[in-house]
Amino acid sequence: MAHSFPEEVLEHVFSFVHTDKDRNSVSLVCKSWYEVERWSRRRIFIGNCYAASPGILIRRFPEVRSVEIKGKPHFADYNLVPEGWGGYVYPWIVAMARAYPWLEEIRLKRMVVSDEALELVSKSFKNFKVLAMSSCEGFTTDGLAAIASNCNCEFGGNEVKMVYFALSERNLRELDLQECDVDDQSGHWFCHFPDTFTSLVSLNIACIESDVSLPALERLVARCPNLRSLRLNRAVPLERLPNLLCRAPQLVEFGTGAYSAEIRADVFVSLTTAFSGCKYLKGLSGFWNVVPAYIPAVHTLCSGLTCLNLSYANIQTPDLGKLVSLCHNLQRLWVLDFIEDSGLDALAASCKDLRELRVFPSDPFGPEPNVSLTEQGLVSVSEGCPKLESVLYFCRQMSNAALTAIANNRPNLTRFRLCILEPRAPDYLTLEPLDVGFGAIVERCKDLRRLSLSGLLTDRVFQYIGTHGKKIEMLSIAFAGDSDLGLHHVLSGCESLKKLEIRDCPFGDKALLANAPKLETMRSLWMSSCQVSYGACKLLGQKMPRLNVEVIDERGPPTSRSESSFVEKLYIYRTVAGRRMDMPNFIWKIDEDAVFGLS
Amino acid sequence: MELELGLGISGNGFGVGMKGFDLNCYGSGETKDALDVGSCLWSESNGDHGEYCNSEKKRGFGEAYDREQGKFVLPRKTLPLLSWDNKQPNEEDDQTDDLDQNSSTSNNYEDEDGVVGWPPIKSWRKKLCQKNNVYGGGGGEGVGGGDGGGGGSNPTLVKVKMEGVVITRKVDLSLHHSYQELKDTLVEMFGRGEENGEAYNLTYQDREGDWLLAGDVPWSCFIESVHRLKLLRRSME
Repeated sequence: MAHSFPEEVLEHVFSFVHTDKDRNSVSLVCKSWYEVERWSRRRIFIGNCYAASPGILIRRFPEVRSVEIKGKPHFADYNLVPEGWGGYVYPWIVAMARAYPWLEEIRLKRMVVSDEALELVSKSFKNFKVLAMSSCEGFTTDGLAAIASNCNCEFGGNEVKMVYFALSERNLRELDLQECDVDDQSGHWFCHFPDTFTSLVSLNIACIESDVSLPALERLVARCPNLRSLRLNRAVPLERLPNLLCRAPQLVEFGTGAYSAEIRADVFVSLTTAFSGCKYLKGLSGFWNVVPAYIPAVHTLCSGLTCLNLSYANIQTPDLGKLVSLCHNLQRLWVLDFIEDSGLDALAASCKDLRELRVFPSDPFGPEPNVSLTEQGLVSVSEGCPKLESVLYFCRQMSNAALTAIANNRPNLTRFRLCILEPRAPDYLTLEPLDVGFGAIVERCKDLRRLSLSGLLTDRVFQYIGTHGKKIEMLSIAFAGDSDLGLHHVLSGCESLKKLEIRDCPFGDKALLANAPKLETMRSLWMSSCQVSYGACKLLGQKMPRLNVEVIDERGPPTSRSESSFVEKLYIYRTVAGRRMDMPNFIWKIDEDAVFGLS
Repeated sequence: MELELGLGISGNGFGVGMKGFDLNCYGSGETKDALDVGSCLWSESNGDHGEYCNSEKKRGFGEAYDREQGKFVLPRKTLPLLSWDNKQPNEEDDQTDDLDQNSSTSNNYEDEDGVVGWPPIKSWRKKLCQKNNVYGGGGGEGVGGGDGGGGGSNPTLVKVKMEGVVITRKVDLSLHHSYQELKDTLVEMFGRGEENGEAYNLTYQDREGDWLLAGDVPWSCFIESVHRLKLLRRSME
C-alpha cells in the first residue's frame, strides 16, 4: 500500500513523526520512505561527532534546521580525557555554513569551539535562533562578541537578490553557555548586542567570569519582552538584582549573581519586592557566595517554584531546611550536602511532587565527614516523594538495607547514580559488598536507564545488572568487580546499553573480545586503568572495521611496550566515518594499517 | 605474515568460534595463554564457525549459564575463578609481566586530590566551588580576611570540633561579632542547644599552632589569628 501514496502525502504523515528513533525506523521501511524521510528531516542529533562526518550528514539530510552534536567522552568531565583529545566543531560549522543557510539551531556538548567557529556561526545562517553550548571550551569572549554583534540583522540589498525570498531576518532567541570554559578577554562583548535586538528568550552567562556591563545588561533585559530565562554570573552584585527583576517581571527562570552584600534593610526590602513582582518564576539558581540573611527575600516565591539549584550555595541546615519546606511544588532540587539528613526529612515531608534530587558533596576531599548526611536521608526522600525518578547522591556510607528500601519504595526510578566518596567502601553495617543492594535497584526499577555504581562490588552485582537491567542505556562503573566475568555479564546481558564507562576495574581482554559484536550496537565504551592489553586492542581494531579503537596513552606509543602490557585508556566507538584525521600524538587508532604495518 | 603476527586468522572475522575466549577455561585447568590470542585461540577454533554466529548462544559464554533454569548460574567448573585470592585471570595469563602493567594505574594518582577524577565531580563544579569557598579548604587561608563586619563577601570559614561529636563542622566567623555570639552558634550547630553553653570551653588554635583559650584577646585579634576551633567539655569538679 505504502508505495502508492504520493510523496506529498508521505511527507505530511512523516511530519507527525518526531523522535529520532521513530524517524530512523521510518527510513528503514523502503527506498521511497527513505527518500521522503531524508528530505523532510529537520532535526538531527549526533551523539558522537566522530561517528559520522559533516559530508555524510549533508549528503543524507539536505534540509536540516536544527543540529545537536556531542564531542568528548563523558569522563572528560572528570579530567580523565587528556587535553587536546579532539571534538572540534569547526569542520562541522564550515560544512553546514555552505549546505544549510537556513539552519536555526546549534546545540553542542563537550566540544572544542574556536572563536573562528563562532564567527562563522554568527554570519552564516540567515534565520539563526539558538546557540546552546554545554561544557564546551576553546573560545574567548571575542567569539561571543561576534555572536552578539550579528545576533539580529536584516538582509537587504544584494543578499535579498541572491536569496530572492522576501526580506529575511536573523533574530537570536537563545544564547546558553552552560558550564563552558570561556577564556575571558573582557566583559566588553556584552555591549555588542545591538539596540535593535529584542528577540531574546533565554540567556545563560553564568559561566563567564568577567564583569559584564551592568547598564548594557539592564537595557537588554528591558527591551526583550519575551525573555523567560536569565542566568547571571557572579560578577552581577546583589544590589543590582532588584533593578533587573523589575525590568523582567515575566521571567520564568532566574539565576542570581553573587548573592551577598552587607546586610541592610533597604536592600533586603527592595530585593523582596522585586522577587515578589515576578509572579511566573518557577526556577531559581545561582546564589553564589550566599549570605543566608538574604535568603528570606525569595520566600514569597517558594510555593510557585518547581526547580531550585542551590548546589553552589553555602547555606547550612536550618536556613536550608526552612527554604526547602516552603517549596511545596518543587520537582527538581540540586543541593549541597549541607542539607543533611534532617533537611532531607523536611524535603520528604513537604515536597510530594519531587522528581529529581541531586546532593553534591561540600567537602569531597576531607578525610572525615563535615556534615551529618547518611544513607538515611535518601531513604526518607524515597519514602516520602512518590514521583522521585532521578537521583544523584554523594555520601560517605551506604548499606544494602538502605538500597533495598530505596528500590522497594521507588520502583519508578529511571536514573540512579550513587557515589560513595571512598572507593570500594562496603556496606558499613555488615561489611559485605553492596551487590545485593544494587541488585535490588536493578531488579525492582524496571525502567532504569542510567546507573552509576560505587562502593565495594564483586562480579555478582554485574550478574544482577546483566539479568535485570534490560533498559539500562548508560552505565558507569568504578573500582568494582573481580574479573572478566563481571564485564561479560554487562555486555551480554544489558540489551539496551549505549554507553558504558569503566575505570579502575579488573576487566580485560576476554570479556571485551568475546563481546566485540556488541560494541557495534553501542555508541561508545570507555575503559581506563583496566586490564585490556594492547594486543587485544589491535585484534579488535582489525576484526571490527566499523569500530574506531583508540588507545590513549601518554607514556608514548603502545608499540614501544609489549603486546601484553595494559593500555592506559581505551575509547571504542562505532562509526560510519572511518578513522578520524585530527588525532593528537598520544592517541593511537588501531586499524589494519597498525596491525599489518608491523609485518 | 600471519605466522609472523601470530594471528592465524583465516578471514572469518568474528564468525570464528569464540570458544577460545570462553571464561570456562579459566578454572578448568586448560587455561591458555590468552594474550597470545593469535597462536592459540584464533587458530585453535578455526573451523567451528557457528559457535558464536549461528546459534542463539550468548557469545560463546553460553555455557556459563544454566539455560534450562533460565538463570545466570555459574557451572561448577568455573567456581574456582571466583574464589581465587587476589589473582586476576589476566595476571595468571601473563607470565611475562612487565613494569608497564601497573603504571597504567599508578599514573592515575595525583598528590593533592588522591585519584584523578574521583570522586566524580565535574572539574567545572570543583573550580567554582573552590572560588565560592564551598570547600572551605582546611582552614587557614580564608582566615583573617574578615573585618568582623556583618556579612562580608569573603566568608572566613574555620573548622570546629566538639568534644564527643564525630563530625567536624565549619563556621563562618565573619557573621559573628563576639565570643558569646560565636559560642551560641556553635552549641546550636552541634545540636546541644538544650545544654548550657557554659558546659563547654571554647578553645582555638592560632597560626603558630598553639591551642589557647578563647576570650583572652580582643575579638578582632582573635579572628585574625584563629586557625581552627574546638569546644571542650568543662571538667566537673
